[in-house]
Amino acid sequence: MTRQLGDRYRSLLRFYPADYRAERGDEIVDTYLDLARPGQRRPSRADVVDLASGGARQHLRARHAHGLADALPFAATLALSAATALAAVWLVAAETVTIPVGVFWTSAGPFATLGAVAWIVWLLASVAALLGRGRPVVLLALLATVATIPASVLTPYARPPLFVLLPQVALGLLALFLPARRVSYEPAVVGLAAAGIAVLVRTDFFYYNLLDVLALVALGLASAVAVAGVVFTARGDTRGWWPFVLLLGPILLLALTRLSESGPQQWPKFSAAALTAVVSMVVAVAAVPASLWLSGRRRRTRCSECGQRTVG
Amino acid sequence: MREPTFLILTALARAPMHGYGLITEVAELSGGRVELRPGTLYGALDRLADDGLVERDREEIVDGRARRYYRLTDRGETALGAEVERLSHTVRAAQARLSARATQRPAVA
Repeated sequence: MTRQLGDRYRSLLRFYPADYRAERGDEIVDTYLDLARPGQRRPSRADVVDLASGGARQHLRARHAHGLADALPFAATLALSAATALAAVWLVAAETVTIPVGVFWTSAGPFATLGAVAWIVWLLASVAALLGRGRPVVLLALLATVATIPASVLTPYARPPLFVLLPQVALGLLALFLPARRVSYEPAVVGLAAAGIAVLVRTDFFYYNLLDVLALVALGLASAVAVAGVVFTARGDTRGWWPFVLLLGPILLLALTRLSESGPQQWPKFSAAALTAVVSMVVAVAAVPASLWLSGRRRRTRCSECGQRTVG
Repeated sequence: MREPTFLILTALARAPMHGYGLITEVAELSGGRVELRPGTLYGALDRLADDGLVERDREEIVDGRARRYYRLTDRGETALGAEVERLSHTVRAAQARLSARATQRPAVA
C-alpha cells in the first residue's frame, strides 16, 4: 500500500525540473508518506495542487525568476480592482441607459443587456475578496462574462460589445491568482469609488460613449504597476517589474481600444478591434518568456579567471 | 516576512529539523492555522537557503526513509530576531492603544 502510494506521489514529481527531481524527489515523497493517513491510497487533490505549484516555482527558480510567482497575488489584486471598477461603471452608467422610443431592443429586465448579470457577479467577487474567498467568485464572474456571448446568440437579449468583454476576461484570468484565504479590501474600495463617480456623472451613456473609461483604467493600472515596479526594485523585492509584465496584456487591451477607433464612428470597427486584441495578446504572451530569458541572462556573469560563462 | 517563513525560522531556532518535523512544528506553533505541505515547505526552504537564512545540517536514513535536517544560520537568526522585534513593537503599540481605550470608556452603571 505504502509503495503504491509512494509511486503515485513520485509520478507527480514530473512537475519538477529533472535535476531537482533527482536531488530532492525522495525527500519530498518520503515526507508525504510520513504525513499520509492510515489506509490512504492516493494523493489528495490538494497534494496535486501543492506539487504542481511547487514544480512551477522550481522551474522559475531555475531561471532566477522567483519574482514572477511572487508577483502573481499582487497583480491579481490589481486586476480584480480594475475589473471591479469597470463592472461598477458599466452597471451604473451603461446598463441603466434609457432605450429611445422606437428602437427595437429587448432589455434584460431593468438593464439594457445581459452584461448586467456578469457585472453584478464581478461586484460580488470584490465582496468575496473582503472575506478572503474571492477566487471561486472570480471564476464565476469570468464564466458569466464569457457566457454573455453565446447567450446573446441564443436569446433575444443583447450583450456588451466585445471591446468591453475582452479586457474584462483578460483581467479575470489574472484575478484567478488571488491569494487563497487572504483578505483583499482593495477591489471593493476601488469598485465603490468607481460606482460613486459613475453615479455622480451619470447621464444617458451607453458602452459606445464610455470608451474613455477603458483608457482611464488602463492609465490607472499602468501608473500603479509603474510605481510598484520602482518601489519593489528600490527595496530589492523579487517582484520587481513582474506585475508590469503580467498586466501588460490587459493594459494594452484597455488602452488600444480607444486608439483603434476609425472613421466617423466613435468606436472601433470589428476588424480594427480584432487586430488590436491579437497584437495585445501576442505582445503580452511574448513578454513573459522574453522577461524570463532576460532575467536568466542578467544573472550570467563571465568568470574572470577562466573566461567561461557562469550562472551567479 | 511572511507568516510561513517566520514560523519555519522560529521552528528551526530551537534545533535542526527535518521536513516532517518542521511541518508538525509549524502547525503546533500556529495553533493548527498554518498547515504546510511538502511541496510548499521545500520550496520555502530553498528560498531561505538561497537567501542564506537556513542551510543543510545532516542526513539520516530512518526506517528506510531519507531524512535531511536543516538548521538556522547566523544570518537567519539575525533576520528572525529583527522580525520578532518588529512584531513585538507592533504588539506593544496595539496593547497601549487598547489600554488607553479601556481607560477612556465611561463606567457602565
